[in-house]
Amino acid sequence: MLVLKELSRSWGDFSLKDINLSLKEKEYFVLLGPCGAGKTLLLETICGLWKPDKGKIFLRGKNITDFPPEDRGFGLVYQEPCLFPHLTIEENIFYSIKMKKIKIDREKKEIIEFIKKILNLEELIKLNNPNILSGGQKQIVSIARALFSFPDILLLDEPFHSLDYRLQKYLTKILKEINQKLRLTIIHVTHNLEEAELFSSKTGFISEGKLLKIGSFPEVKIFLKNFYGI
Amino acid sequence: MMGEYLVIFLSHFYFILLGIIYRKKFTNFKWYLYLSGYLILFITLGVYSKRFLLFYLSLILYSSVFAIPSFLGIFFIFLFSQVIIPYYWAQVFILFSIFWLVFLKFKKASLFHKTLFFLGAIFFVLLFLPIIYFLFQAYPQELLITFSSKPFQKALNLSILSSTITTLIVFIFGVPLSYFLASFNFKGKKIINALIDLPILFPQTIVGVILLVFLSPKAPLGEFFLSKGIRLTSSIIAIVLAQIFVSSPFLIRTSLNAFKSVDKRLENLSRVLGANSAKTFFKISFPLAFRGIFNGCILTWARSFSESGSLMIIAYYPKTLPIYIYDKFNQFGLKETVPISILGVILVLWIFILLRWLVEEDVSFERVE
Repeated sequence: MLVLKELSRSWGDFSLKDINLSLKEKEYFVLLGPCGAGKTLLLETICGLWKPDKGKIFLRGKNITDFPPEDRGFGLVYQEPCLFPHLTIEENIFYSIKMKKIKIDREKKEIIEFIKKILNLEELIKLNNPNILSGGQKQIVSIARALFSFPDILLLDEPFHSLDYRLQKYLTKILKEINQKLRLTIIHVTHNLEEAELFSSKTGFISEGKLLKIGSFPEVKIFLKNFYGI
Repeated sequence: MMGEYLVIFLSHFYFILLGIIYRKKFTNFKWYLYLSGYLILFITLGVYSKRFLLFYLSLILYSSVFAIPSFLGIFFIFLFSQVIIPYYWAQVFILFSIFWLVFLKFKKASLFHKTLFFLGAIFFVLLFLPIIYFLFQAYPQELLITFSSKPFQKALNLSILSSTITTLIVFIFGVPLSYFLASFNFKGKKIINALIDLPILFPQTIVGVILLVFLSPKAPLGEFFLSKGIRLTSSIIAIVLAQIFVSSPFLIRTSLNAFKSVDKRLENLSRVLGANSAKTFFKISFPLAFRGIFNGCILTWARSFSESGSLMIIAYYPKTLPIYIYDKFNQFGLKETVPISILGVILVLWIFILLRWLVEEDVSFERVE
């Protein structure tokens, strides 16, 4: 599905070095790493917001390294909920459909209805103004917005960072359901081990711009124990 | 004599009558305050300035407005501006009344914030007292006559037209430049960034000389255009060029800052969600920076409108409003110049308020109280 080959990118003093990664369809990949490990930079490079200095990105076997972000087919959710403050909630959610001029066929309509129902969007849309939403509601809208671009891969950059425990649990459940039902590949970045354990079918650990370990969650956990000497 | 006694009796009767009503309505403290107000009026108007008739009349006013804080404040401002600064009473009264009405909204603010407000208010008074004083220096008839005079209207129209053209041109070329500077990093960016502000640093007359040397009929460019029948100096083209030169930094700088303040992640998300860079600009960056850009347009327009120094050199004719005023002053002296200038001030204030109001009315979700 997604293959990264020796992806490198420097950004000031920091750099991502030779990232190799391969993901299958429907895989839920959790990327662990401390703050400043280069997690966000990696996601943004995959999206095409930064040109890699070296290396290649393949999606469904196609080399997309030089594609602009709008033609790549990723969905992105940032750590802090970033809604377009001058658009209504509905315009936010359907931004991508409008920009990409996506035609809604029956299959897509079903997906939209499913997501609307599972995230309880109708209630949120009624509120109209995104600035009056709570942090949790905003993050739900951001996730919906990313999903409605019908991405091949959803990239989540510490999406639960600013949410309370109850909401984290709720969204965890929903993301798993979406992952299963929509057959969506997800890369989920976090520094929270507990979060990683809940999700992961595959886990990676990144530190100082290097992808040090990829494996199942227990494997990575053991690696971390040795790495930090705890 | 009889009449004065009647006034004394009626005003005091009214004061006592309302006093009885207030006694029931207000706390003790407030009621004593009501009584001490009488004393203040008596001392300032009666004993100090010996204007007893005014004292009786203000007593009636005072008792009537005591229950409404905003009116009471305005009443006292009126009184003190009458007694203490009789020469500027109207101007002071207007300014302080406005501040009083604003201040009422900060009633519950901390002492620090009240001090901030107080200092700001003093500064404002110093700044605007001359302007408001100035506005009172001509009779409405005079203004009307001046306004309907042909040369004045011609100069005004030219000023408005040229400033508007200038603002449009600066908008069309300046906004893309500022967006480019805000979005990309490249070598030499710092130099360009510094050069943008350069025109502000030149004295206006030097700007005039620079442009005259470049555009005069003897210079290559001027000669070329003259051969096509277009005169670059002493024409609206020269006016617009000079105005662009001095006013463009305002729009470019403010829109540059406005673009910089747009969250980069929003632009990123827009790209990832399928909008190309042009769509992202029109859908996200520009609307979010619009308020700043619009403010820049106002500044640029105002700066163009007020430009005079360089125009004296490169385009004395056709006369814009500032040149027209200068010309009048040279020919006829101060007295002739005042009504024109007053009209200029009123027009600029009016346009300024209108534009500000427009941008405040802009129904975006950007800020929610």
